[in-house]
Amino acid sequence: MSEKLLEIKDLSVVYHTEDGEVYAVNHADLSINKGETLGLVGETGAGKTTTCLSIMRLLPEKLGEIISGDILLNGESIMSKSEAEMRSIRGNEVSMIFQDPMTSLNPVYTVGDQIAEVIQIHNPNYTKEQVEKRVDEMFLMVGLPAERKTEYPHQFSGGMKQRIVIAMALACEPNLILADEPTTALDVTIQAQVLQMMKDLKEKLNTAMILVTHDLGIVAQTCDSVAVMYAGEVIENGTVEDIFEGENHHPYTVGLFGSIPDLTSKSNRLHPIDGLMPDPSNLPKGCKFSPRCPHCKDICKEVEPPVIKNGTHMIRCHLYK
Amino acid sequence: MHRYIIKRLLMLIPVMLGISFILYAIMTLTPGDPAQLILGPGATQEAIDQLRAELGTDVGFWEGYVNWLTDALHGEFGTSYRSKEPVFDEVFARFPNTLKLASSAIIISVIFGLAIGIFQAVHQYSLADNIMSGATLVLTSMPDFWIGLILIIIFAVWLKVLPASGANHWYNFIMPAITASINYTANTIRMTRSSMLEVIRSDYIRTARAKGVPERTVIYKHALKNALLPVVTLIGINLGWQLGGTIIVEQIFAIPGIGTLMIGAVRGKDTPLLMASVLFVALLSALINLGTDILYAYIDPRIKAEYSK
Repeated sequence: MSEKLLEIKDLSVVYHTEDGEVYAVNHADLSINKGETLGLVGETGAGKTTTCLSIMRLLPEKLGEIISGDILLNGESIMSKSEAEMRSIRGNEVSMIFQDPMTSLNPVYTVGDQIAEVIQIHNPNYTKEQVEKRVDEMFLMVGLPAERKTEYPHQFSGGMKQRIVIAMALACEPNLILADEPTTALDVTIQAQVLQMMKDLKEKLNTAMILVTHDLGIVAQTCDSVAVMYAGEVIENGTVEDIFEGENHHPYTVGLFGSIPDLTSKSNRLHPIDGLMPDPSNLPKGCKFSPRCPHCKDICKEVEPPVIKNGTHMIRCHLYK
Repeated sequence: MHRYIIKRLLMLIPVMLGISFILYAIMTLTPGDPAQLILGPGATQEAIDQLRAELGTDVGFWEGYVNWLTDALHGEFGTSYRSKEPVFDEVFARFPNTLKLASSAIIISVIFGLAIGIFQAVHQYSLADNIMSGATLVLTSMPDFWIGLILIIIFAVWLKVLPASGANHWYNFIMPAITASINYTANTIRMTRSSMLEVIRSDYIRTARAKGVPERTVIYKHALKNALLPVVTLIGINLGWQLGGTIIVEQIFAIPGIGTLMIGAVRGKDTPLLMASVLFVALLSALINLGTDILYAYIDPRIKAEYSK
């Protein structure tokens, strides 16, 4: 169980844009064991999607660049792999579920063809019948009638499309799924359905998953461990128990929890975190969260906070030195 | 789908009627009398009146149009005032030349337009892309009469490898086809490039890459089919224009095509000939339009669903 599947060490990613360098991910460390689910939480722009794309080596060409760090998959660095080797990993060992099912399917090909394609690419010796059989299996697995495989994406609802995307991601039984906000674009009832399905399938196939989300409720339900990202840094990392029940937290994590409505308390107001995420092309010195932090000290504005480790729980903050 | 096609075909009837009416109005209500033009300035009033009666131009506007329409509905489009030949004999004698010129120009523009457009999109902002963008900009800005004349100077006058005029052999069409295609090629390149660039950035292309699809397949299968719609529209419009006769190119290279025929008919106030040739070209354009729309349905299933409503 504790075998490491993926390890991200000191990952930094920069986007070279016309308005200058954008530091999307800064010295991030993450790891995930086989069969585990890691929740990756944080505001929009915190570098969650960029981290996922880096694992696939699918950062926008010329624009995005991994400037430091290493990503190890099954102990092997993917940074040194050739494009052809990466292609045999994508969709096969690691697959990705994107945020918006409405736009992530090709509108001019049937959904069956799109699922068949990934099976064909990674199993070139399959016959047509075997591929079709597998497509039918995948439809069944995600709870859709196999007859509908000859239909086009526009003939499906959002929730069904996301099921198709999930079927596509699982078709080659990958070891790792990167689910980039898989339910954000869906309405709440469908969200629950899709999440439950993903959880069941993951357990059935013993697949590890990185679940990118804003929703802490989803994290509590589905994840084994949690990493909180802020301005491209992993500022807190630990098991679900560490994050939800641990005593010490990064002030940002505390702020995140404060931003969720609580039915049990009488307070009518939410407690959002003041201010905005810093501009990633012009990050503050020292702790990136210092301008918004209620506990900000002088040292926070000057020195990058150290990593404080307490068992499985990691916090990057000056408070707990 | 069939219902849609039939509906579109039926819609052609009012369009054709409208075009014929406007044409007839322009030809008869503008100054200039065909009988006078044919007989020349020295003709007697008697001779003119007699010819008018023969041509049927001695009646009023409405009566004249109704007469033309009645005949046309019986398949009688009349004879040319000048050659006395049945008008469609003249149209069909000229049309093959226009068809050869138009189709070769379109084929050139499609081949080069798609190939270069895709290349540029895939290599966006590379040196080659920048050079080609500059070149297409120059090409779209060059008028075709100028290109035609330059080609004649180089290949017919200096190098003496190609004939400057005529339409008897296939090699007569090389320079005219290139001349007629240059602007269209440049437009097709620009359209293909921008349409491909838009599609390449879309989510489903990222999905395809995340599936491990090889880059070539991503471009030629996943992206191209989606990027093709606006390009097909442009090609359809171009073809319609070309079949309407590239008047300037036909004039420069002395190719007896539809374009020169229509110009001659306008100059000579040859109403029956002009009506027949313009209606023929209009019908062709409308059918090409319909063809383009049907092609959409095969490219994009969403449009097909729209048609069958």
